[in-house]
Amino acid sequence: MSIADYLSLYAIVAIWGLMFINIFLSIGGFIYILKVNKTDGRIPLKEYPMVSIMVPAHNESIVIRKTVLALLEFDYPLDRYEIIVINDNSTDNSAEVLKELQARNPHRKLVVINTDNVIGGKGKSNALNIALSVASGSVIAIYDADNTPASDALAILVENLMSDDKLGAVIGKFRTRNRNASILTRFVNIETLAYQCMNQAGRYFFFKLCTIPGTNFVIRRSIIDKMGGWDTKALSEDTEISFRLYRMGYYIKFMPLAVTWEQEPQLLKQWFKQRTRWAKGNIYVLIKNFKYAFDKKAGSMRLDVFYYALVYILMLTSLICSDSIFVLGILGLCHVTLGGFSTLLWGMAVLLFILNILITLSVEKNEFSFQSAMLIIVMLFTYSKLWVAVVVNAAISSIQDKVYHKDMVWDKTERFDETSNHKSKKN
Amino acid sequence: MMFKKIICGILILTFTSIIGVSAWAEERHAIPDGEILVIYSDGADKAAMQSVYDIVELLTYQSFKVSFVSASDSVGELDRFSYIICYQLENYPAELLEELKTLEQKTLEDKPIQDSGVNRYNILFMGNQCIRDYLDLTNHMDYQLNNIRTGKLTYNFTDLLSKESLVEENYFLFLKSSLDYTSGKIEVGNEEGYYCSSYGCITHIPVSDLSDKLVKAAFIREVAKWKWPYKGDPHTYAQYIVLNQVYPFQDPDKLLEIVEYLVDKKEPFVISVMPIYSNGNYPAMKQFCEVLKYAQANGGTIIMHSPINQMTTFDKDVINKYIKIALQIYMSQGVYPVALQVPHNWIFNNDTIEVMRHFSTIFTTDEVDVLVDETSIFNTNEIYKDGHKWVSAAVKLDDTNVSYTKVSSTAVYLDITESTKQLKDVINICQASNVPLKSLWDVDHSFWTEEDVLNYKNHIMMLNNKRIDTKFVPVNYDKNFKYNRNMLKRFSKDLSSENHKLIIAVVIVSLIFLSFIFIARSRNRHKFFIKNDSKDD
Repeated sequence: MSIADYLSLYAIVAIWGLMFINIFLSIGGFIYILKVNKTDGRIPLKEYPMVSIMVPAHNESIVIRKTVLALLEFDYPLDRYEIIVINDNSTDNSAEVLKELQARNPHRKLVVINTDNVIGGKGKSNALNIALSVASGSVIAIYDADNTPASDALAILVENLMSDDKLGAVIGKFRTRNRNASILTRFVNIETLAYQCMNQAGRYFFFKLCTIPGTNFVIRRSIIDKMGGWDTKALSEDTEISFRLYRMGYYIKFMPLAVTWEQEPQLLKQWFKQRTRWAKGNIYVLIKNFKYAFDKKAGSMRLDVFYYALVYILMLTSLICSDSIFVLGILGLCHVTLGGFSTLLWGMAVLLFILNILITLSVEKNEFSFQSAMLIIVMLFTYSKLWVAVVVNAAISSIQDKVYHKDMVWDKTERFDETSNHKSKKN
Repeated sequence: MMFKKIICGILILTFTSIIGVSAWAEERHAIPDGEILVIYSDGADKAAMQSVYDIVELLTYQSFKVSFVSASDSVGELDRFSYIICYQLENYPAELLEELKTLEQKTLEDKPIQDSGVNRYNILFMGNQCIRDYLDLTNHMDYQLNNIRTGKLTYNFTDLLSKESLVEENYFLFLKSSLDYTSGKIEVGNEEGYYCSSYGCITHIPVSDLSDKLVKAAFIREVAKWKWPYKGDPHTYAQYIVLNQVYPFQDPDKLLEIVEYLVDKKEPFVISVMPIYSNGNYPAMKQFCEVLKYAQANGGTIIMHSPINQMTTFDKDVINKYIKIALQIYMSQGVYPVALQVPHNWIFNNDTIEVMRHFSTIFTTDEVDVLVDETSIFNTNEIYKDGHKWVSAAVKLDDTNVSYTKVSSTAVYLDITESTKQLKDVINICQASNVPLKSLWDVDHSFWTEEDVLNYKNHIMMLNNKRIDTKFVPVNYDKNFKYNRNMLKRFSKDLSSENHKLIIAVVIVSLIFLSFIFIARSRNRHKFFIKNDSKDD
């Protein structure tokens, strides 16, 4: 067997292994979502806890008004929640927008913290820590500045959190608000449903494992205090906090009926920047927590560490191997002699990929269509390949940061004005 | 003063011409000695040169030392050779004919030798142009010209066995005098000539295209007679039935069936096995070798094909290493190959000659090793000096592959992938042939590698100075044989069968997914439409 044969064999085993893990999770996720969809997700409480909704915002004037208005509309006892917007070292007119909103809602508890570049401007984790210092709630809710949550989202999340003392956090589902803005946002929409929603549901269904997505979730204040706040070095503060929470003996629940709509990057450059940041963050968290994969005391979190390791190491290397062999094969520079290594294998993998994603679309309203099926095929050969570039870029960047002792920089995603559909740069 | 200069100039000129002449003489003696000299046209094309190589090869199988040169290079050297073949000579210096004329005259003058029936010089003209010019020059023999280009050749191998073929030349020339010898028949238009004729020391074969199988087979026979100094036919050599290029993974039952058929008929035979380099202890290999051992103990002889050359630059050390490995694998199973089988163009390459030097008996096939350069040896059949016993592929004159010539040892190669009936038919034809069958066990053989030396002499086989008994002993098979394949190898080997399992898994998963999609769609419809409608009502 040649080197190409060994690499092909590795790629086949890795890709099909990960494929079946995803199929397994999709089956669990599907059953869980059907089960949840039979209910309204509500578990009424005798007394609702005080909730501090924290919204970190850096140059978000385009979207912040819509977000705050949606938060003000929550179907939750008005005196039992506060909104804390951290206007983090913004150079746009966010401060004026927020001031105006405060003026228009004098009876609501809307706190705006404007920071400068001395105490602010150091990323999302730092902003959240600042907000935490003024928060009065026993439950913390986090929303990104570009979110438009459904009015019942907060109530569903909090009621579920209060239903079990072992629950550390409850996460909701997020959808793409600007789905039809570009082909890229259509891909992001499909990806979000398949790999954020269905995957989370599957992991929760089988293992009671979830990863906090960064927005639309509630967490107990006491846990955050015990943790000493957010890790300011982590770019993926959501993944990082999830791992810490599991190590403390709590678990996270996925509640897909609590929905928020968020704006996704419309241009490839912004998307690439955002995903690189996520990948770098996840690599940091993975490296930091990999030791727990072999620690029995870490409980079910070990599975999550393995899952991330599989995705970032196995999938990345196998895709690089298979794509390289494919390209070199076309150029006639390498030849695979493995028996049974045929286009049939490849065709079956494509079929399962499409069906797997179609399932996730089928449970959503207005998502399942022939057009979507076609988009999935296009996505497989375009969008999915970009993931490899993102992770490689993130890995190189992480190594450079380590070698040159650079601090992690939270690179904010640029927002778009959805009404005029023009990009507005505020930096 | 002037006189001195002239004297010096004359001396220098004389000195340089002496040096030049001696250097030229040295160069002239560059033609190696040989029993037969083959002369070809100046500026001969590729096809003509291929025919020259064919002639040299055929003469090598008859154990003749051959030299071959262009016409210009042969001038002044002819009297060193008793046997001269002028092959298709069209461009040549005039001195060549004069020299040939001198040789003929010397032969005629040499009365005592001529009376004994042995000529001092023997000249064979192949083709028609040169002999025509020669006869025009000497003017001592009549000839007949025919400008028709195509003729029908009929050649008798025995009184009862003749073969026919269409032959082509630019024109045909036939000698008209009372000839000492003629054989074969060529019909050109309404006239009839011979395939080969002799008069005195001159022999003529009008057709020269050796790519024609019948021309080639007839040439083999006639050149042997031409070279035979005595009356009657030359020595008779045998033909060998060879089950050719048998691989260990071929059906051993079929091989056994053919072997048993040959054993029952008490006919000697040879099995040419392909070399293998690993996994020699696998049960399948043991089973294959058991058949070979059975054959070996019952009149069959084993020979081994050379490793298939895939090197653009031939490396004899690599080939020798693989031959050593393959031989050791077979010998460890009690199978003793006694000869090497090679592509026929291996006899013209220095490196392949060195590889063959390890074996005393060589079988050649019709295969051509395209990666081996045939022109690395020029002017002689270098391999002659190694004294091999040659067995060449029989010239295929019909579908049976049976040999029609017996002037050198030939092999009738049988492809065991053919039907059993077909193989049995060929064996029966060989048995009925006028060319005798012979056992390789009746010939001495030897080979040596870096680690082993095998000698077979007087029916005793010695391997590394230990006597070998080829008696057949059945093998005990290990039912729980451990293949020691690592996981990767096993997985890759089984990938094809894994695919079937994968297809089943994919079909099941696809059906589950489709049913999920159907359930989800149905629920969504109910939730978002039917429910709303009923509420509206």
